[in-house]
Amino acid sequence: MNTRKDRRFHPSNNGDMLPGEGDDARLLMTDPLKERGKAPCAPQASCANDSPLAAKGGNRQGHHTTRKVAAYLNKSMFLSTLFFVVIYGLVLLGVSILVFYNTGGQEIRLGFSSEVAYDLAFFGASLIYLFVIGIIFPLILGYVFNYGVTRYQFSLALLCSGAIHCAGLTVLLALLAAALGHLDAFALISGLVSLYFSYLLGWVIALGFQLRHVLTAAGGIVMVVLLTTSASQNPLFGHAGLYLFPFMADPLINFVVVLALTAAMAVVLPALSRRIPLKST
Amino acid sequence: MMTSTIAAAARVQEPSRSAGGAKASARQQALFKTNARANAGKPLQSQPMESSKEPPSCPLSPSPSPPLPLPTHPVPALGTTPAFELQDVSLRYPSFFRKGKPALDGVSLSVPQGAICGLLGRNAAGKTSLITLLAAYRRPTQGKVLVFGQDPYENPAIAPDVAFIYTNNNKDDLSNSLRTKDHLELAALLRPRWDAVFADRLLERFAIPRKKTLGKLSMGQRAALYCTIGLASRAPLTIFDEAYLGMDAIYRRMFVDELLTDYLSHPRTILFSTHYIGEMERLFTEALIIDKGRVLVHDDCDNLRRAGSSLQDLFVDLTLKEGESA
Repeated sequence: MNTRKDRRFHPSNNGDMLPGEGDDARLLMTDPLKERGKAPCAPQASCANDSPLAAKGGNRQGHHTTRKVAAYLNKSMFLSTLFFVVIYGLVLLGVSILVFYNTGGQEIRLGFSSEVAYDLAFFGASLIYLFVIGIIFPLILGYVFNYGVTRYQFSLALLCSGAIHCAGLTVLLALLAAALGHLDAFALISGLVSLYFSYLLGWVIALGFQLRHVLTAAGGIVMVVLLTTSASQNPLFGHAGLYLFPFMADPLINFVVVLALTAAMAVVLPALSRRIPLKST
Repeated sequence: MMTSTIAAAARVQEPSRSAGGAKASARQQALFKTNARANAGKPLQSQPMESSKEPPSCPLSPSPSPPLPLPTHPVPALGTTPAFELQDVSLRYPSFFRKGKPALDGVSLSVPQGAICGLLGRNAAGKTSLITLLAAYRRPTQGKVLVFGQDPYENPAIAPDVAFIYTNNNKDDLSNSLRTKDHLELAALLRPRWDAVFADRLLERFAIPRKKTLGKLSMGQRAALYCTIGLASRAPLTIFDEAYLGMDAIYRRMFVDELLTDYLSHPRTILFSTHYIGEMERLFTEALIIDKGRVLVHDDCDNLRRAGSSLQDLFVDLTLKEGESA
């Protein structure tokens, strides 16, 4: 038997007031959950089902998530770079002091000639660093995925934050090159592409492991070897590739090839990342 | 029965799967309101869960549970689309040399929104495999998986709506080097319904230090942290896969209290995979028992209890192998 109080809350009531009911009842009929700041956890997906407009909203939410993940990755990468720069700076300082004392104080600038200092100590080290970062950061996919991020969103964020990071390191290298008297615009642009290329190479290796397939991993390693020999004109990979690809001796051709390979990897890697199977334990 | 009824009442306005659904819904709502009025203002722990013979709440609990906020209004409908649905789903793990046995074999089921579903099964029965499909960790080898009506795999509209909570005890995991507060910050950043105040309160209740890294937390504390993240995320589909493994009995009790309290104010679908059947069965509105990758039973818990035996007894009867004794 329905009492007046029961009918007030009955879903079939449709907000109609029973005779004699007061304002408190009216208040309760106006979506009491919202009044109290409580609401059911309705899925976004059901909205996406209902209208294409809402589905677009879902995509906007997706871009928003990518930006957030990119911001998170940028912060983490910045902290790790800071760590690297400080440690590496201390190592270089130690080497310089050692060289300074061993040469009787004849070499006072980092213990190297300025050209070697830039190519090997700064640019080469940055390439290796980005190669390592390129391996490590994709491996946190499983962790970030648990917070409601898709593999593709994470991959896009990884691409963006890697690019930002490479640009930041290029600026730092430009300052060092200017200090050493080696500032060259083409070398800087070529250096930026090489840094990003190195970062993506690291990602290829990580992806090989993540896809958990012997052939994929082997394919990844072969691809890395081929790519590194193609990009033979950088201090990290040496000049071995010139025997295979003599035309790469021309800096401009080398730059174009590396740029094309980088672009290809930037397109392929996020697409392949969608297939990564994850494990919960 | 009380908790089961409360949870069942969250679904009162959705069309029932059976022909007499409307009638059943009305009955559930009436029952729910009667219970709500009868228990108004009483804390959860003082309420008898099933009968007057039920043991009282644990007096050793470090802080008493807050009073259960019993609703004075009907719990709103969560939607007519099933929370998740599997249609003839099979899953095989790829192996280089052999095909391997299927982890799931032709599974078909549907769970409505607002249900608290217990996923029960013996070791290697396929529980986690089923969950990983729902959480889009992998694709099924065959069949169709739908979460809120859509394929969850790489779906940006679904991903924030699913929270898969499990205790990661892998010592080599990179997340072990992050502090508790880092984990919470990431959850706050990426979970659209994150409740920071609730998360803080849970951290206090479970006595989890904020500045310690995950690797330095005890197994129970780690589990409590994961459960905190799962509860405060308020994802419309929250999946707990033995998430409270390592938590002591008091913390488990606190976890269940918090879950129920929060469920009442924020109804959602919860899938529990557990081996603590006796402890958790009162929580469930539905039970799903699987064995060797096949569904043995999927029914409303009230129906199963009406058959006479407890869920635990039923589970043992169904899954006990030849030559084994319970």
